[in-house]
Parts: sequence; C-alpha cells; structure tokens
Amino acid sequence: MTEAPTPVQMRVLIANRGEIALRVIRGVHAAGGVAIAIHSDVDRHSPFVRAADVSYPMPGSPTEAYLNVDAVLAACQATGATAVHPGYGFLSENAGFAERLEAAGLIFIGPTADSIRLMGDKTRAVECAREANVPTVPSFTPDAEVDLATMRTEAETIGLPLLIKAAAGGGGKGMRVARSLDDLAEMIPSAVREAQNAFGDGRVFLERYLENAKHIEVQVVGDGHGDGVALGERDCSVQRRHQKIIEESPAPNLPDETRQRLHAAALSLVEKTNYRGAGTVEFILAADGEFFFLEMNTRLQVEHPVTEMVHGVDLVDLQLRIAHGEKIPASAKEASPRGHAIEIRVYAETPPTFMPSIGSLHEVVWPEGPGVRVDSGVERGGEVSVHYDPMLAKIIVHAANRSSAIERMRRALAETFIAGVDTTLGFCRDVIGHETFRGGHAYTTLIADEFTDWVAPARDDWVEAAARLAPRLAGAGSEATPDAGQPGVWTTLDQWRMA
Amino acid sequence: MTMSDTSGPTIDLDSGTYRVVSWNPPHLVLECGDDRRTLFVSSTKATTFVGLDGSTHAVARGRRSNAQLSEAESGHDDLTSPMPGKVLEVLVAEGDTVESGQRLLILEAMKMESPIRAPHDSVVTKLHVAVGDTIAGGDTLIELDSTALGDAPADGSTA
Repeated sequence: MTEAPTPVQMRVLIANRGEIALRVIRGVHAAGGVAIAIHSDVDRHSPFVRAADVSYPMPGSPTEAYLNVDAVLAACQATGATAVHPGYGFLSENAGFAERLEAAGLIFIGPTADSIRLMGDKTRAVECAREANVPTVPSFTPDAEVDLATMRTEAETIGLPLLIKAAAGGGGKGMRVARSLDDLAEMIPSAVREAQNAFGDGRVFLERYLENAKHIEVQVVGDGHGDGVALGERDCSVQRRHQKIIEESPAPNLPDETRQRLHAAALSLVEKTNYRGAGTVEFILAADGEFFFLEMNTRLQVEHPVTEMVHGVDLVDLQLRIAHGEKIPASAKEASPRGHAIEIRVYAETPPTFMPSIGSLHEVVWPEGPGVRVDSGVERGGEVSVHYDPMLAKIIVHAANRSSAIERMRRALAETFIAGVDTTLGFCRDVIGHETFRGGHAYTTLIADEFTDWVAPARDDWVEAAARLAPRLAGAGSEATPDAGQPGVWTTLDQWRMA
Repeated sequence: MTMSDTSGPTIDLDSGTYRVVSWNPPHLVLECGDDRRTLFVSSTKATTFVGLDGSTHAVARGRRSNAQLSEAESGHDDLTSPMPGKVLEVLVAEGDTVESGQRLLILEAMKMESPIRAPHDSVVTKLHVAVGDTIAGGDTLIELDSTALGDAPADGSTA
C-alpha cells in the first residue's frame, strides 16, 4: 500500500462494540490513527475498550449506548474525533446519522447518506438494480395499502412459492414463505405487524422464493466518483433463520462466466450510484444458474475477513483511505484471489434451536497456527448477556484450496474451547463435515432441511475419562471449587507419584 | 507450566485404562493404549466442562455424571455419529434396557474405533444402523428413551 493518510489528524471514533470494534481499532492503528472507543456501562471491561487509545462511557441502557445519535455526536466532540466508523449493525445503515456527522464537520466512514437511504429501502434498491440492468427477482410492490385480492392476483403472476418481505427490513424480520395462495390471507397481515414493530414501517412486498438457491454476494469498493473494484464473491449459503453462520470465498462450483457476470452486475451498481467505500451486493443464485439481485449492504460485513484473506487486502484500511478522499489503491485494484477461505461464526446459542445461551465465560481458548485468524470480542471471565447479539467471535481459515481449508477449519475447531455457554462450534464442525457442504453444494435452507434434528455429539470415553479425572487435577476447578482449595500443581503431581 | 509424567492419574473404563499424560490447564492430554487425545477441562463448583473436537460437554460434578445431562430432557435421546465412518459392532438390540455409560455401538471413524455410549439409563427404542453401514457425520444412529424404563433401576456405579 502507499503512504498512510496523515496519521496525526485521524482520530477515529468507533460507534460499535465487540469483535467489530476491535477489528476496526486494529485497522485504525495500522493506518497510524488514534482509535476512540465508546462503550456502555456493561461493556466497560471489554477487550475492545482496552484496545482503544481513548475510551468514552456512554449514557443510557446497554443498547441505547450505541444507538443514540446525539450522544455519539457529543462523544465525538468530547474526544476530539475527526471521523466515525460505524462497524455493522447499530448506526451503520442510518442515513440520518451519516448526515448529522457530516453536518458537524466529521467524516463518516461509509457511503453517502443518499446511498444508505436508497439501498436501505428494499423497494427503491430493486428499482435501482433494474435501471442498472441487474436481474431482479420477479416481485410485486404495492404502491400503498393494497387489498388482499390484488396481492393474490399479483402472487399468481409471480408464481409460488413466494416470499413476503418487509420493505424497510432485513435480518428475516417480517419475512414469510407462502406456499399456497391461501396462505396470504394470514401471512400478509402478520408480516405487516412484525415489520411495523421492528422497523416502524409496515410496508411489505411479494417476490418469488427460489428453492435450493445459494446466497452469493460480491464485495465492492467504490471511490465515490463512479470508479470501483469487485474483490471477489462470497458464498454465504449456510444460514439459520435467514442469518449466515458459515461463509467462504471464492464461491465453490461457480462457473467463471457466471462469476464474471456477478462481478460486473455488482460493479454496475457501484458506477450507477457513485458508491463510496466498502459495500456488498447480495444475490440469490438459483439452482439453474440464473442469479438475481437481493440487496446491497452499505457497510462492512461480518464476513469481510474471508475476502481479506483471499485477496490480501485490508478492507478497513481501504474504508479509511476512501473516506479521507484517496483513490482506490492499485494494490486493491490488482488484487487477485489466492487459495480459499472459510469463516464460521461462533454464537453463544444452543443448536439446533439456536436459542441464545447466556452466562459467564469460564474458559476461552482460540485456535492458532498458519492460515488461522480469530476475530473475537470476548475473553475468559467475560459475560454473555441478553443485551447484545450473541456472536462471540469468528474463526477464519485460509488454505491453498477448498478441501484443505475445510480440514484446516476442522482442526482449528478442535483446538477451540469455550466453557460456560453453549456455542455453535460443534454444530458448525458437523456442517462443514456434511457431504453437501463438502461438495460445495450448500443452499440457503440446508440447515432447516438437514440439521433440525441435530444433537450434540454423545460423550465418548475420552470425555468420560476426562470428566472423572477432573477432581484429581489441580487447577481444573475455578476458585469456587470446594475440594480443590488452592493446591499448587506440584501438590497434585506428588499425588500422582504416590498413586 | 506443563507436567508430563508416566505415572499420571488413571481411570479404568470398559474401553481401557485412560492415563493423564500432561495437564496444563485447561489442556489435558490423555492416553489409552496407543491412542492419545488433547482435551480441555475447566470446572466450576457444579459442572466440569470437557472440550473435545470443538464440542464442549457439561458434566455435573460430584454425582453420577450423566444426571445433569438428562435433567433438561424429556428422556428421549437421539445419538448421532460424531463424524463420518463405519459401524463396526452393534452391541444392543431394540427393546434392550441399557445403563448409563454402557457401550451401544462401536464406530470406526478416521481409522479409529470409538464407542457410542448411553448418556443415561434408558431403553433402546430404535436402531438406525447395522454392522457394516457407512455413516455421515450427524447421522442418527440410535434412539433411546429413559421414560420407558421399568422400575428396576440400573446400577451405573460399575463403569
């Protein structure tokens, strides 16, 4: 990369928490900037707060701390911030927030408020894609409140099965799958209610639901003047409840011709909107090879590390440069994919229902070694609370090819240990061992179709032996362990020798 | 600090004698015959957490270790294969009453044999596999039901 943007002037406030705050802090430090963390009261001992050069406690409830625009602006003022990185979630796709920052003379590290607003409205986003000649899913969007009879007629034209989706939404909220026209009478009103509650906007639309489809997304970076680069694609087909848990790049079994058309389609949106910064254009790839635009996420994605590992780029660094007026560096434009990367998200949840698992982290051990990256926001002794998304970390591996990456991930997961809450680790290990995934044929309902009856591996004799031996191992227990007291390891070694 | 000693603590199970090779919390290396595994162990007052192959098993302390696993469940268990492999032996039949810890099946996976054991006292309600079957990771192997037990409690203290 070329020289860093004037480091003394860049003071970046990170309006986020957890692993992504830590990731951005590292990026700011790499660019020679000062990193400022804001944090809720419950987060005050979190690793990301420690990693920052400046930390600033926020008022309000645990979630308000990261959502209150006025308070974030006040924090910028108090800490002398010159720029704000929003991470993902929270205020990252809030156009009003971006406008307020720019009005206050601060740099928003993301696209323009107009881009956020355009892509945040799913209906307008689809129109924009059509205008850019990007294929879109057959759909019907009512102009205003539309009676069920009209919806039913339109649904017949679109074809079944179909999705009812919230116009303002994401994350599966307000989403329904209708398999018969008779489902609409019940599903539309309930989707409207859910959308109203989640987004304050009850508009819904209909679109064809493509079965056995893959979720493929293209990472783009634009300079804000129509120039852009596509940094490959990611296959994020492994999802539970419409939320991704395993992602990889490049997409397996993707014909080169389709790959090129996907990248070109994503870039045409960058050009059409003069997109600035990092963004992701999401597509659904049907079983017959046709693809359709889903939406564009105007921010850094959770799964950005797989792209970084395959393309050898630092996306946060690119975001910082472009936000500070630089062009897209040649190193990014010329980056070519090398090898294969896979990410699994470690959620504090109990598969296969994926109910959040709350508690203290008694032990946290992450994997190490060549080609292994862990983006974690937690540590031993931390608490997993009800206040935030239960994602603890992401484990990413990179290897020369896909099958080596799968093996590397299985080894990495075997090196990982989290005690105190349930996690998706063992579940993900089984998913990447599943023949459909191994074959590169994962589709968006794979987990719903094949893993709803998943049970955690039964205890084998190794586990049984370890559990029974535990009381005889010094330091196996926490300080609360009654029978251990505070024996040194040598005391126990003596016991072994006597045994 | 890592300790390594040939006279580490041992425990005898059906499948052999398991010996502690080293213990550097939370890393525990166990040996059984020519086989060796690295596990993770971390205990709280009530629970011992044992990690193996990315899965963490929560085992209640001080009582029969299966008690906690069963308490949250309806009594019905589907045991699944931890990894792809082959069924080497089937040691029980449908309708059999089994004790906690009893071996039900022997699998061969990644060139190693590993037993599938009953997590608690129960009745075998369905066998999904036979000797020689090839299985994928996550396949259901056997179904158990502890509510189907008669009133004769199995004595699980022998293992």
